[in-house]
Amino acid sequence: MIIDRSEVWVTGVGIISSLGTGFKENIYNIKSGQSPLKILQGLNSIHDGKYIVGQIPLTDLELIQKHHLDYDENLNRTSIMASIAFEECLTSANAKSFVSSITIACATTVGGMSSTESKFDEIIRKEYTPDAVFIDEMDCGNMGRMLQNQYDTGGENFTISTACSSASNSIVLGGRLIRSGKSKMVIAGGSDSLSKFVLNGFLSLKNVDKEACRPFDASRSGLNLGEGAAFLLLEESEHARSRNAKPLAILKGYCNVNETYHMTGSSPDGDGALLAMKGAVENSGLTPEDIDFVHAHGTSTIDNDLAESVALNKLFGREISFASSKCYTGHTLAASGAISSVLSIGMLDEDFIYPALNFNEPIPESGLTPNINFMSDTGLKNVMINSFGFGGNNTSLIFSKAE
Amino acid sequence: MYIHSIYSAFTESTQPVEVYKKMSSPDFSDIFEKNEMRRLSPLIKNGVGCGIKAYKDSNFTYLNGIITGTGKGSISKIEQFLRDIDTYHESALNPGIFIQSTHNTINGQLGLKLGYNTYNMTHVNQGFTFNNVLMDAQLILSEKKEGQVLAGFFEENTEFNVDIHQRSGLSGNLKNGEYEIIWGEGVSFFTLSNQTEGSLSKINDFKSFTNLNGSDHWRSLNEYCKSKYFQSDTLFLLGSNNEKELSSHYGEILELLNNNNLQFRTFKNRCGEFDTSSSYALKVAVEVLSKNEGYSKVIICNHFKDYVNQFVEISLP
Repeated sequence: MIIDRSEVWVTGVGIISSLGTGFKENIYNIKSGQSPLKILQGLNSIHDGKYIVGQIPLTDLELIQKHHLDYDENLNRTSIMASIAFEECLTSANAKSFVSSITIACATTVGGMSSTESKFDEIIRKEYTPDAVFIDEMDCGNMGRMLQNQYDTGGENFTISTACSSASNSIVLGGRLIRSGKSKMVIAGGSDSLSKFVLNGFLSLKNVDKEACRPFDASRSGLNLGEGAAFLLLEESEHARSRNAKPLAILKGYCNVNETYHMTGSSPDGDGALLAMKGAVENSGLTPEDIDFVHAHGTSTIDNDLAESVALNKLFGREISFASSKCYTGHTLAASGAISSVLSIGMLDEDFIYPALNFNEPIPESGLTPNINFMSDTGLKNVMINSFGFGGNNTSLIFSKAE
Repeated sequence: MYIHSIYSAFTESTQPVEVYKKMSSPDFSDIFEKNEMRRLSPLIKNGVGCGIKAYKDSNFTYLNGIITGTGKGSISKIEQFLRDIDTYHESALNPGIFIQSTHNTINGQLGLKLGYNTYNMTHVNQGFTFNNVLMDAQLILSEKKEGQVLAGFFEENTEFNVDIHQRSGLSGNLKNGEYEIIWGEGVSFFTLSNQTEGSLSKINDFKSFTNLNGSDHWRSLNEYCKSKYFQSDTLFLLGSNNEKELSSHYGEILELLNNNNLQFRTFKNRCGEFDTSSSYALKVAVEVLSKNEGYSKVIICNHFKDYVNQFVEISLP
């Protein structure tokens, strides 16, 4: 690892999720301890009205109008949410006059799938002729290219797709680009919208719960899907100082590993999760004792929560404050690592810990109880964020309070 | 950055094709169980198979990263799952198809089968993908003193994908006197390090140009080429399907080659057009350099759709 005295600062954030639009609203609502998860609507699916999800309660057109986006009938929901979060991120960082230095690192699992699937049948029956824009919108890479064109960002443009750890990996990439000196400013994050494709995919894997999800509870039986987007402006500290930008938090460390256990399941002994968490601690130069809170992946699936809580025991060997925000946002897949990161940055900034919801009884194998009460002024300094995905792709991040 | 081994699955025929140029199917029965051979799509078999063979053909004894890139991913499985959602009215769907449609399936399988729990990344970024993967690999090599990376590219095509490109006009239109694009697909994996020992070739430079701030990415590529000095033993590989594409896009580069008496070959008439077609040219470049054809340097110039150009310089180690 290249050791550099400079730090990776977070100088701006943007977010849209079922908790609300914008950083303030998301932080305000997660403090409330009220879950915004609701019954699925408007997906044009036989599952509408049956499953609880973290859905943003506005149609594509309503989002476009509310946020004054340049209207294009092909703009898909993933890109719409990404635009909203990206704009907030740039604005909050006061960085619009620095776009020529900005590299984009996006993340998505299915890109414009919500648009593709709505026209797929008509395309096959040759009742709809897609144009060049529609075809490009089907690709994961389109969101980043759209943002690059819209804002004239001058740096490189990446898109990561590693399932549920995608956005955390875009943040890892951003951190690496800055530490290596290749970039001064990277906007990293991700976006994923609800789609019939993904809902049916997770249903086929039989790990969706019809009821509200219960992360780390003994009775948990699956996840609730969600949608949203979040971006962080990662900035080299000297660069930020030179333009008088203040840090919201510091990206202290990160680690991505492949747990080489199984394509869709986590190793029950938690060793895969442990590798990523340990790696991030080492990368940050901290020790496990320094970590004050773990913003867990906590999807509420049988496998994940077992593996993750066993790994928490192994790494910390002590009582550790932890919780999963999936009971507020649903599992937003490629966006989840960025959404958890932005929520964690709010926690560091305001020094609070949100309450885990729907928890009654610990998982017998680990016996861990997440933080179930709203806590404030606990002196939160270092927060770890976990994102574990398909294919054994595990990533942990550590954000620290800006002094 | 040095290339130590390559394993690939491409079509390299210039014969006319019905829909698109299909990748080859190397025998990977020594890598997969029988049920995997039956269950996995050709793209995933080729991706995992080429990755493992490239690693085994190298002198590497460990890996610091497995990095792949694709423009579109497993589109045959994505289409199949979309069709099944319609056909079976969103019930009784096969999870295997959903899993195979996930972009990082090949990466996950490679980690699993090679047993390396190292950095594992999948870039899915249209025409930028090729450059993104090389940049990520280079980052690892800058982070680790003796870093070793397995980097690969995978792309498949389908009749549906070609059909929508043709219907949208993106494949050109022969009636209007424009050129027609022949689509393709293919898989290739490369082992990369900073160590010259045991290597086949060296990647000296790679760059991509896009159309930002109203800039002309072709002008940027042309000027970049003109700013460099090329000796007479340099071969250019130009990403073109046919004569019309060559003359309409590569005019300035052809003029530069002509003025300096430099040789060129086109490559998309062999592999077809796809998001990561530069990976095919990279394989060809290494072959040309290894075969003692009298070239000590190969330059790849490529474009994808109307928004990105690539420049790669490869030489003997």
